[in-house]
Amino acid sequence: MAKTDIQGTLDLLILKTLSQTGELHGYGIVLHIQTASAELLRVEEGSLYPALHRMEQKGWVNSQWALTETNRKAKYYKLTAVGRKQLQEAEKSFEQLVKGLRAMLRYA
Amino acid sequence: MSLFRRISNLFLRSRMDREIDAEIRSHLRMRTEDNIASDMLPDQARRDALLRFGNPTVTRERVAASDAALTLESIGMDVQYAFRRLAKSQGFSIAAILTLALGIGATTAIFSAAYALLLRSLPFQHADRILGIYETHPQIVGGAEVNFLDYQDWRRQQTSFEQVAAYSGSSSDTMSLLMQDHGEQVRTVLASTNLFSLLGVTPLLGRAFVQQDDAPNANHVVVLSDEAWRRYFGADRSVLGRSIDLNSVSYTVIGVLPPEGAYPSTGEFWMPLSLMDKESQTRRVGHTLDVLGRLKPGIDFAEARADMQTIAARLAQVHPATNRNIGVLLIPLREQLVGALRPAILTLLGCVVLVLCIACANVANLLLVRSATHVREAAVRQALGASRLRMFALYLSETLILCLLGGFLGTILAAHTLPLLRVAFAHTAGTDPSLIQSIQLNVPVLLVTSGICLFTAILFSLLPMAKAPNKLADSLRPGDRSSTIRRDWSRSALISTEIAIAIVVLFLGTLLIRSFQKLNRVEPGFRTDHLLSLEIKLPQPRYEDSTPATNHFYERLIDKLRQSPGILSAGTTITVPLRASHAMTRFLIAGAAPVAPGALPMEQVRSVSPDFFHTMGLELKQGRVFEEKDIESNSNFIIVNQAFAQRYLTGKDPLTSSILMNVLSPHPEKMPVIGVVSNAHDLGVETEAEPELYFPGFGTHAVLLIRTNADPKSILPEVRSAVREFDPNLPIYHVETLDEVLSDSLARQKMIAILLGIFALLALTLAAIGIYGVITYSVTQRQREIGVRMALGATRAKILLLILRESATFTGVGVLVGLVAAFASAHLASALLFQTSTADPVSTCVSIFGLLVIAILAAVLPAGRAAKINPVEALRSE
Repeated sequence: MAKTDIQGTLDLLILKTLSQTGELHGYGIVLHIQTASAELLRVEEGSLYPALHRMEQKGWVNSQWALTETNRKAKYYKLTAVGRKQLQEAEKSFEQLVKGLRAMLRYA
Repeated sequence: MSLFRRISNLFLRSRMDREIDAEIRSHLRMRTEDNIASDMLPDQARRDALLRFGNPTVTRERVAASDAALTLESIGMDVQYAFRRLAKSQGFSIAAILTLALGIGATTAIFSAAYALLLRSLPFQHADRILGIYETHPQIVGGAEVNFLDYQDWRRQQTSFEQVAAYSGSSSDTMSLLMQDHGEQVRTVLASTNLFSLLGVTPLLGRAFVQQDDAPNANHVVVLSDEAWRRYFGADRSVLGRSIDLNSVSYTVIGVLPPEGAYPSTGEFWMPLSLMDKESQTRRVGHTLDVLGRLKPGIDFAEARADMQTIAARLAQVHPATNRNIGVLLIPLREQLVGALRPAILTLLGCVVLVLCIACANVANLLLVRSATHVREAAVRQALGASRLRMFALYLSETLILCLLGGFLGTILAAHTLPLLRVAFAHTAGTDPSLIQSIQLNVPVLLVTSGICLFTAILFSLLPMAKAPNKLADSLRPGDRSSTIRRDWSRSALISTEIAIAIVVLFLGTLLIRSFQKLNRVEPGFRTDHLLSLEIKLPQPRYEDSTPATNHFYERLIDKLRQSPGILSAGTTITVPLRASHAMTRFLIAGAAPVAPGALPMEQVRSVSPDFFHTMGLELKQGRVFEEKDIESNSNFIIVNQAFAQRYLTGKDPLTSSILMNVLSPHPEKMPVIGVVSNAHDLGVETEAEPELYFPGFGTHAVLLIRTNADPKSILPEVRSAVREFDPNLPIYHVETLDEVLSDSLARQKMIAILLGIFALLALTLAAIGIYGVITYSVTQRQREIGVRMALGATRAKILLLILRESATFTGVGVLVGLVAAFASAHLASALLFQTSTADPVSTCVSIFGLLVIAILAAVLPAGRAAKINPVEALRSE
């Protein structure tokens, strides 16, 4: 049975973003999700940070302060090995969710 | 790393807050810059960034909350805040903590006793299957000791028990142990060889008895209790196999029992049952054995009883002369050990739980009042987003502090009460002393105490939650207090319950105090002051009952004592007055219609010295008392008391009557009555004066009574030296004054009366505080209403009545409900009452008036304050 909660989805988006971009700050993650999903997905910006903090607690990501291209200080997040594994699992369970949903819709 | 982080986060909350802030700020700045880059005005750009982001403060909180360790910190903050709130309202906190401490302390103390006596497992294997087996006789209340031959028949014929064992161990069974330079009187128990295997007790050292020890010509062996081993042999392991001298006979020590395994716990030296005197082993008249049986698994109490009753009926048919009236009584071991204390403990426990209920109701009430004054604070918190769980945590931390502090103080209180309780219980005859010593504050008791604390705390925190307003807006609206407050039924119900419970406790307390007063007023029938009692046991076979040597010893001793200036007179008997005794004999009035042997009457019998009556202070009503020559000539005279004359010699002149004794032997003896003496409550003040028969004579065991003209204990050295003069190694033991015996016999009743009296006062005080609190609160809430009423012309008297009427309602309901409950519960305590009805009118009146007076007093103070309210101020204050 796939995990179907929204939080899981947000986690997946963040993990995927970090795996595609390597190292990124929160604002960058928001932008990336927006552009990569062709403006279809928009994350409520505030809700990103509790998720990031929680993932850091779990050891999926780690963070450090660095300068942006515009010379601003920002906190950069990076996937850890555990995070990478977690991403695989999250992707798998998301696939299942989608498959399940599609089956449901087709049936109806 | 993550753990370290959590821990460091805990201490670095502010640093973390700063970091989260910085991150959020950097996010907002980047968004604003991007916005400006896409041609927004700076103000608009910032506004858009904020809108997209949501509330930064909430986000910061949520980020912090995702850290589990920080929840701990928020709890820490709650606790700190709770402490501050409690410290701010000191009066409330102290009242609540003291109330809880009294309730919890009293409950803990009484529960410790209940646990030790009724719940804790006994130190024997399968203790729940062990029963005491007694014989019954119509003349004896409860169970009596068992005859040796009956015991043998039971053992052989029964089918319900795995084992049946017997021992003979009344407290007067003592022997003289020869130490290096002096004699010690030690308590001995004759036990069947299987007693310890029945109990599942394995000796600490050496072995228990085996079958061969009981053989008629076996070596004399003895098993020691742990205590005796320590006291007389300094816990020397080499004592095993050593020969010791008891009553000038040598015994070999074969074993030492573990500290908790001694049974009966008063025993010090155990010997095989075959050493019992031959007469008791061959005749069906003496009843001296205590019998235990361990039920076979699967056999229940009723089956065993039926089995034993069948055997008793069979014995009654085969031996009608001795056994016709003898039945069987089974008593579970615990019941037997706890004895008369069970109803006392249960009554005390019931009352103390009731007091705890009042205490809790009071604290609940105080908390309700407080939460009502904090309604708005609670509403603001909820409006700002506090979850119900969070509110609960806040209330819980506050009540938990109260309950834990109360519990802590209560435990200290209990720890100081327990020694007093043990002393009070220790005087209760029929309760095993080691069981009483096991009344301690131990882990299970403390667990229950902390359980009570936690339970009450959680209950109390739920209360304000239940009262929390559903519509926040209502409680936030300024000046929301309507001028008449909706009557708060939950509070009235609470206070009515409190009053009802107080009535129950007060009623039971008064009942037992009245009962004790009546008991205390009973005249024992003799003067207990300036009277000393001590016991002497002359070693056999040098002395035997009624031999010249024995008679000579006592006569010389009594003569010697009489010469002492401090001693008025001295006499001997065989039982300590005011102590229960089964020293009874069958007889027949000469000339009365013959009865079947089994239907012979049976009454208390004493063999006494001539001076016994004078020493006791019994009045001679008719005839004469014994003289020394009656003893020397072994004359067959008898003296009876008035109760005997009334029951058996009505319409006859006692002095011309004779009584047939030894009626079961082939040659009954006819003994003329030479005197009638006044009655004494010889078996204790609780029992009526029993008919008694007195013989002249001295036995090897005697209770020496000495009437003095000064403090009875002060003459003890003279008594010791007098005894030593006639027999150097003979110790005297069980020394006590009759005043002590009397107060001991009342100790249990006194203790219950005092404790219940204290509980009743406690209940009353707590109820008063409760009433006072509720009325005071109601007056503060109705201040405006009172102001309006006064402005409209209500007089002060009317206001006073208005407030008093409020308290009259819940007091009335409480008193009525309480009385019904009190009458119902009094039946449970009826076993404790002496000549006092469970519906005693005096106690009823005392309870009602006591409570009414307290209720009026508690209500008048705040009502008076209400009547003094200045209407102008009251109306302006809103």
